[in-house]
Amino acid sequence: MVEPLIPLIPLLPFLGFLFYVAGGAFSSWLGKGVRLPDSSAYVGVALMGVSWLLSLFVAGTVLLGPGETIYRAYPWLVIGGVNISVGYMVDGLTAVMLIVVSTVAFAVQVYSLGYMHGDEKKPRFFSHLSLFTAAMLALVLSNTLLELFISWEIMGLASYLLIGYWFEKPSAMRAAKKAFIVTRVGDTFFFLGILLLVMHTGTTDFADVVLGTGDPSTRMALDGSDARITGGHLLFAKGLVGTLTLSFIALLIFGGAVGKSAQFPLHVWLPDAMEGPTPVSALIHAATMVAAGVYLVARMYPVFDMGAPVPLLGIAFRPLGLVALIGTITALMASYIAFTQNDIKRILAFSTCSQLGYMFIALGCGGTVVSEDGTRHLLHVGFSAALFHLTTHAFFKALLFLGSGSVIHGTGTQDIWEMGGLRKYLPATTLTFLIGTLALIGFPGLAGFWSKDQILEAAKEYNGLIFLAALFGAGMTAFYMTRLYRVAFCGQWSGGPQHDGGHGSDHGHDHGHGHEHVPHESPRSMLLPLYALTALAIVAGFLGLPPAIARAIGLPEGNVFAQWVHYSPPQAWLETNASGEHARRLALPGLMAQAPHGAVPDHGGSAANAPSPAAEPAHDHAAATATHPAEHGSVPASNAPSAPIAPDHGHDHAAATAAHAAEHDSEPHEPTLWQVLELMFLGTLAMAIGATLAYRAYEGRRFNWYDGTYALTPLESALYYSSRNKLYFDEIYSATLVRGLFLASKIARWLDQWLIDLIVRGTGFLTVQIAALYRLFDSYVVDGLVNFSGWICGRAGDGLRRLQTGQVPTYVMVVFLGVLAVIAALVQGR
Amino acid sequence: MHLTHFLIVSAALFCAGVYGVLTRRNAVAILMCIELMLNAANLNLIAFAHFGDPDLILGQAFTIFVLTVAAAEAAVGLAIVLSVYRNSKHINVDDLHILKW
Repeated sequence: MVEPLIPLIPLLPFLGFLFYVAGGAFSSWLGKGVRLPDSSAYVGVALMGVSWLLSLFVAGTVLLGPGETIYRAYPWLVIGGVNISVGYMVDGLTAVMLIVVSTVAFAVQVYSLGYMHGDEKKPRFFSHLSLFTAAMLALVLSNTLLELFISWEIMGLASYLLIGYWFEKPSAMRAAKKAFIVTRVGDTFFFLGILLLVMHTGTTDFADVVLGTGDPSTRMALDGSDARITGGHLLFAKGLVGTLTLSFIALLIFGGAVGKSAQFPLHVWLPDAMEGPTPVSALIHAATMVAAGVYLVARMYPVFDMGAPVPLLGIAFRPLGLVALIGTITALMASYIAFTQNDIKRILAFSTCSQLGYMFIALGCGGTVVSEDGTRHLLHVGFSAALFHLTTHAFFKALLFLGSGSVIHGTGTQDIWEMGGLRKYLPATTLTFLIGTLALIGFPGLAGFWSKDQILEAAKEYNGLIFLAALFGAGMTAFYMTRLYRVAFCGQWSGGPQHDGGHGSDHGHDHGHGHEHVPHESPRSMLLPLYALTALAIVAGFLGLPPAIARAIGLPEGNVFAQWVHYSPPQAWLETNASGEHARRLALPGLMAQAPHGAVPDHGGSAANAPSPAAEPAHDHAAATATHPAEHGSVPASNAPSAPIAPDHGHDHAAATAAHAAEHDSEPHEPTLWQVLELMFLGTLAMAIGATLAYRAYEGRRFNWYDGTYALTPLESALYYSSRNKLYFDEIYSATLVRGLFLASKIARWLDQWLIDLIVRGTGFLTVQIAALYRLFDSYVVDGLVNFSGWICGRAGDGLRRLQTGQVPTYVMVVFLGVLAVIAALVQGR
Repeated sequence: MHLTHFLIVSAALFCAGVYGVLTRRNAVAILMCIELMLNAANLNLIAFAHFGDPDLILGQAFTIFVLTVAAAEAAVGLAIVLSVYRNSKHINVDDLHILKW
């Protein structure tokens, strides 16, 4: 019923894009200087609105339905043993992404109607925006990795076009190029990963790679062996693709995610991407495109999960461990840099980096791990926590960016020190911005609180160090966001832009608002999306209400989101006992395939030995399908006394599908109310400390940006300037990579000039010389022979012609002599 | 009379003809010597016919043909000689170079 609607979701915005392209071409055909009217913007917005409604309908049908995955593939290319299909796939993950992307995109497009008012290139803006939205929606609906990659690249193109929207500004131009090139680095890895996957499995269909439901008769590995021998999962088929190879595939694909999601070390493009119009920053560089990296890793989760630990620097990292590591580094680093930035959009950009890092932390803290006794069990929080944070973050970060756009629109500056006291002038913007800020820093009850709490839970379950880092990062987030709010919105209005050009606001650039002295509130088309997103930033979090709390306040079930979006690995994979080598790695500390705190050896992986009574009922319904030694191995010892709450909940949705069963298996694993509250307390404490510090530090504008009027200690100076200068990443890259590239090309040029050219010229010279020699040979030997034979013939003819005297008697004489000779011969012969 | 005698006469006649052809410079004389050679051949034919199978007159018949052709040849030859003479006012074959290279 919903299926025919699905292709329309990306096609409608794409239709909008085509409309603008065709309309623009038609206008310029009509005459020089004729453009599409500004009102054409409504076409794109209307199409997006329809697409949004369709998305909600499709996603709602899938999420509230029986939990079946809609999968449709049409053959496209058959190359050798590789079948490449196109089509679409909607499962819980896709459905959630659909809602997020289409909602934010629609809100941003409505917002842009007001924000871009008066911009003479408005239709172009909306065409790019439509193209982007179409690509992003196609990306989440893709049914193969290749289709996803294509959408991914179109998105990159749209991002490039939109960052460089004000291409007459050199900085915007440079930023666009930088974003495009830096993400291209990651995309190269991504494509190599796809190639490697195709090389080993002959397919990129998610049905094979992710769902494990593909038709085995059509899927053959390139070497002709049956791709799906065991376990019902392609990747799990023995001998098809080695687990270490799988890790490399996963890490190469992760390279693409690192580039797109601006993770360390490819994060440098995101802050510069703020040169684009603010709605673009909100849609592409905060809510959706940068989250595509997270989506990619989530989509390819089985590949990441089933990869063998990769030895690196003497430690065996499981691929997801590396994901978590990169996420941790980015989360902390970006927060640190955000401390001292003065551009409101750049603060938010680094915040985005950092929050994406959080999502990768959560992804990395999911999947399956091998405990010390060799059994494998599922860390069930991480996966859905990451996607949950993606969802809430998309809403509140889009809200913050749109709010900052409203601020820029009203004040004509992007420097927070040139704002101040905006509470009085922009009440509506301030309120929404405040709620966005509170949601981001995890103020209890708002969206970010619940999702960050889940991430902390996932990190705690996986690795203590990452947990502490995430907790610390939460404090840092609170610090820089409070600083931003405090400086820009509280205190006194500082009088707007102090200097023209230097801190050019993107808006003032086009509007000439830069010289107004009193900020003004934004029009309604800008405020409405703000209100809508504010509402979402408040309520979205309740989708992920921890079950313990939900029960405590009398709700039938909690964490609806995790039921929608969860990772259920193939049973056969869970039942695999890790071999000895895996077990040995467990002895190493850190991010490797390590058991969580609860993996006590005496559990032994057997139901009979399980000390927890809670484990028994949960086992009952699960036993129908298969035995799960893993689940018991993972029951934390500390859970046992208070666990009886859990099975009640577990039985509530015991029916459902096999996929759900996997979810319920881990139900006894669930933390109790007190553990949940403890975690929330820690998170809130970190937030409160950070926020208070910032609020106190920037009270009354005591600390301005450092103006050199007083001496800093060396340590302060080092900390301040390293943060201020973004840890010198740009400088390091331009000194090493860019300079290196120039040097390399100079060397290449030199080699070209002196080596290749030498060879070429040498070859030419030699050829000429040889040709000269050959010419001599030709003219003297070959021509000589020819002439000689001619000469011989001439001389011979000269001689022989004298035989012909013309005198008949001579001829007769010869004839007579000839006859005599013949007679003589005959006589002789007898 | 014996066949050998006829052949000796015939050979002598032929040799006289050949000698004449090779040595004479006058074209008419050469034609006449050719006639000699032809007649030597005719004599041979008749002799063989007579001593071979007298009932058949193949040799005689052939000789008649040869005489006929000889007459024609003489006519053509004399015509050529005549035209040569008209061209060069002599018929000395040594001085006839017009067929030469």
